[in-house]
Amino acid sequence: MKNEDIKKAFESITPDNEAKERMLKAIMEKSQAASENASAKPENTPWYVKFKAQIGVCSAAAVCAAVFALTVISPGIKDIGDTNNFVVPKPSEEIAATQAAVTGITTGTDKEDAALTVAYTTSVSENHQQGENISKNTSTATEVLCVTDAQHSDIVTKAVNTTTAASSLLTTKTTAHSTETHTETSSVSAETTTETTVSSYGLYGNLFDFSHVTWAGKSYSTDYAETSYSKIKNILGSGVAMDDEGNTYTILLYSIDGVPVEDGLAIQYIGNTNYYVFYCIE
Amino acid sequence: MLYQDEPSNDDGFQRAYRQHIDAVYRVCYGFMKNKADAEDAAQETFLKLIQKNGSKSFDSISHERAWLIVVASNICKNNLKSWTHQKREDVENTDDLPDPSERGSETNPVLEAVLDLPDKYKTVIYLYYYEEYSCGEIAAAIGKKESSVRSILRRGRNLLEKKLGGAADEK
Repeated sequence: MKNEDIKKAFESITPDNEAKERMLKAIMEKSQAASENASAKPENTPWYVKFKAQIGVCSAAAVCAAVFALTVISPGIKDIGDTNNFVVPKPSEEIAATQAAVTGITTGTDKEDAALTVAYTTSVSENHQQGENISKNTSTATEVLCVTDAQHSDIVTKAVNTTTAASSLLTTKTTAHSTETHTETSSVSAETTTETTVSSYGLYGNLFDFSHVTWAGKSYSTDYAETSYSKIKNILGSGVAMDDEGNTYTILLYSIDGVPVEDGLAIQYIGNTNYYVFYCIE
Repeated sequence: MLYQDEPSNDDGFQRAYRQHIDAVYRVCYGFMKNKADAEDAAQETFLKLIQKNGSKSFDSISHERAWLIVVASNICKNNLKSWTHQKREDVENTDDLPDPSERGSETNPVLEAVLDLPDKYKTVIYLYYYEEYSCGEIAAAIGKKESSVRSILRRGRNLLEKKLGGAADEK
């Protein structure tokens, strides 16, 4: 086999003249048709480009609607998975009535905040109190030893009723400070979980039984009306609140802006982010 | 139209067509193995040339010719791979078709052997033996390495030797 054989083989493949003319004619016709189609064909703009502006407006409107819906609906969402370690009881009408007394303690501008807060109470209490501050246990309850920063070294240990002493005073102070920024949010969550039944007890039990505090020789009580963080003036110290059975609950005490300490205090229960108004009952 | 010194588009295309139709048709026939498909592929190739008009002109007539041959072989490969062609082959593979030996242009045993080569050898064999391109020119035309072109050529020659006997001359 020689190169010439291959060349001759290829040369034998030649279209005849008729075929050449036929192909040329077909090519010219196809070319002309293609050019006519190209000129007659409207611009092929994708639909999403044509409706770009409308799509943008609709998308923006949808986002706005979604944000508005979330804004309206979100306050009604139940915050069952709250970080609080206790169960919020049902609000009682009795406490709601006493809320008026609390708002009497607050200044005029506090009324709006007080109106937003919800007080709670419960008759169930099976809690054991934690804390290093030991309170005196009396059968009639309501005696609490409070500890100020200045009086910290004067803590007197009396009858012991604590079953656990989990947290130190220093630790509880830190915890309280770290939760201060969430006060407003927690107020809302407490309000939205009012339908939760008292079926179980968390780490700190039911704080709403611990309504008795003694501070600087004065007795205070509360209807669990809340105040906002913005109303908190100074931290007065730490102490314990007691229930009717003498159980204690570690608390932090704050003075309220515009309210003399002799008239009322703000109490923050350890493990809770809310500030409750305690007013002097003596 | 088609290369830089061309006077006008129509004349340029006519000139290119007359000058290269044989080469393009041969390449197309080598792939398609029948006149009708070869003519269709050749037409498509020259339509590509018309579409190319304006976007780029060729440096020379040989450049234009090489471009046409490569485009023709690509079109043929695409057509052979297409679904319609494969379906049609299924239909054509019946006993009603005439014996391949009756096809006039394929009575040449060398041509038969070349047409039976795998597709990847045909263009290289054609460019090398008929168009007398060098391996470097073929490599530039088909976008492969020169060593690859040599390898393809060697294997193509071996296949032809097996079918026809005797060794093909090397340039």
